[in-house]
Amino acid sequence: MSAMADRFARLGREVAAEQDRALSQDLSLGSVRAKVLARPQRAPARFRAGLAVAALVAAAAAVALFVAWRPHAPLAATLGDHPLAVGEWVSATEGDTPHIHFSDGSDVALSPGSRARLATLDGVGAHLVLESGTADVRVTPNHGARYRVSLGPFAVDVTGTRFDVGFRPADELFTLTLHEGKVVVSGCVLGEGRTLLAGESLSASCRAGHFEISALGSQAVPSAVTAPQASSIPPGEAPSEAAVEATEAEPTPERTLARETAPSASWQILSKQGRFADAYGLVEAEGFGAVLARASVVELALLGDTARFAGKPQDALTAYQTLRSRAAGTVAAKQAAFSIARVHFDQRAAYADAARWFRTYLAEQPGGPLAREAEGRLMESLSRAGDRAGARSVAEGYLAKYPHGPHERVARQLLARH
Amino acid sequence: MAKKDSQAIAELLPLRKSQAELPAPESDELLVLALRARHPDAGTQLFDRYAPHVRRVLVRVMGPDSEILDLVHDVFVTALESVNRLVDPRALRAWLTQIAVFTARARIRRRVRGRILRFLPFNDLPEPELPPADFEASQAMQAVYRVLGGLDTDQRIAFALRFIAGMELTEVAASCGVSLATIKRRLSRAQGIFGAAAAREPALAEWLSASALVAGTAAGEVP
Repeated sequence: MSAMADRFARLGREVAAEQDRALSQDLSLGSVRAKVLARPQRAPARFRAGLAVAALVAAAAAVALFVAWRPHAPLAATLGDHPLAVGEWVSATEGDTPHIHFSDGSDVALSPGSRARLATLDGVGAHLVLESGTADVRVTPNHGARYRVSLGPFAVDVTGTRFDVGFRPADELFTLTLHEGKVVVSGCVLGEGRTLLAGESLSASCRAGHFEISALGSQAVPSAVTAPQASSIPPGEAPSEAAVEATEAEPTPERTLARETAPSASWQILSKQGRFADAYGLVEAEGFGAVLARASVVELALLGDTARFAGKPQDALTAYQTLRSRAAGTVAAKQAAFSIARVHFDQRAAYADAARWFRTYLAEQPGGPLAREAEGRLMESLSRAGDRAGARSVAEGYLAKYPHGPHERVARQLLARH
Repeated sequence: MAKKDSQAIAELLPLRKSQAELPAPESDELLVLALRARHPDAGTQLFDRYAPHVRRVLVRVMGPDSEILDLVHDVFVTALESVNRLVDPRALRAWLTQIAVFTARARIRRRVRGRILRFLPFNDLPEPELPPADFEASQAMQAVYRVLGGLDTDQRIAFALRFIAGMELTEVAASCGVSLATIKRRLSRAQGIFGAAAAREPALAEWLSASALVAGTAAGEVP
């Protein structure tokens, strides 16, 4: 590549990184999804004669698929007596255990203080994001039912079962107790998926880089596994005795990390792959201060995100603050205010600080892509910080601006309480 | 073709049966078969699997644009209606990329035509399409797309896919549906025009100076 092409490529990477950052916080694809899928499907445009035989084979396959993958009536979700829309937040206040009920009989009961969002809903299931807190999940066994519950970096895939699940963002602690059926849990230290059976309980921490499976009503079972770092055990496989021994024989996380990481892998690449614990391990090995000192603006944002998802809120705040001082006035700096607010809210439970930073973001980017989300979360922050008058005021403004926004219900609950 | 499909089905269906308790994730081949059979859940699978990729391609080509979501919609409607034209089901991702590129190109050309029509009598003018930015972009990004807006549509797309999307030359050629030689010619012209126009953009001057390249390398930029 010529020198000029190198410069174009470097500029292009910077532009792409900025675009990705904006896209990563944009949830608007859901509305397009609903439009595309609601559209009646027309017959395929053209069938060429030469493909007739293939079409017949495909038709035969269709019959087989149809049997294995039956069509389902669209599901509906309700919260109490009211319909719950995709993208809508549910925030359980103290003493409140709201139930999200699905038309196939499935039910999710949120514990007080929990926050959840219905991310998608289709003919065979739903995707629920549990931001924090715990939930009692009951999925009605249906052929082909597909539910997913996401909690931070973890995800639980369910076909029909009952379990209690929880997530504490402050220390990235994930817990699941399975009462009936079978689930597959994935993400972070669990890799692409580990199967959990009825009567088992799982706790995992992305931050600590370990997980443990135990039988209900007993101490940790002998085969309980502690993984020093992500994916040291092949995902989806029960660890063999040799694997457990090998894992236990590893004296330090650093050695495991060195073994698992390709020599050329950088923390930036690992972070972009979602391997935040590994990425942060490299940052720590090099020294957070050193990485911070020479990071570009784009890398500062990435460093903040890496620390945040690796459960290092203080380092995340340092990276975001550094970005704001080095690139004051830029879009990246303004968006860092939102990220700072999220760290205070999700990981430090410092709601007054969170409110202050959500306000900062709104002041700096009043029409920005995260304005609606920032205003909704500002309302929640104020409520949790005990500033009811402030929360109420924001709730009124929110409903005026976004009458059908994802925080609509939370806003109405706040206003109804006074 | 028939043999290929029958082999794929023979290989895939037993797999499907063994995974009946946990349907996702499926292979692209199986997804294409389900789409061709117009299975009601297949569209959902297709969208969930590829919408982020399609949107990213569109954003790379179009830049900050209020119509990105409309374009995502159009890409998937086109894909769902023409899935029978996909020859190799394993190339589903590349095929969707090509549809996204073609959809973006059609929209850019429509806008260019709209600008030309403004020379017509006022009463004959269509409603102007002036896309406001859907997110606040940095000055550099705005400048990049301002300069790209002055390029021929095909050159603009080639440049965006190569340098912003970071595609290999063969990938750019496949996405544009042209030969490698054609893409090289387009890129060569695009680089010359972009370089000259970018020199007049203060926000890009630093990026394109020789010292910026050296500084970027020394700072250990992401490869």
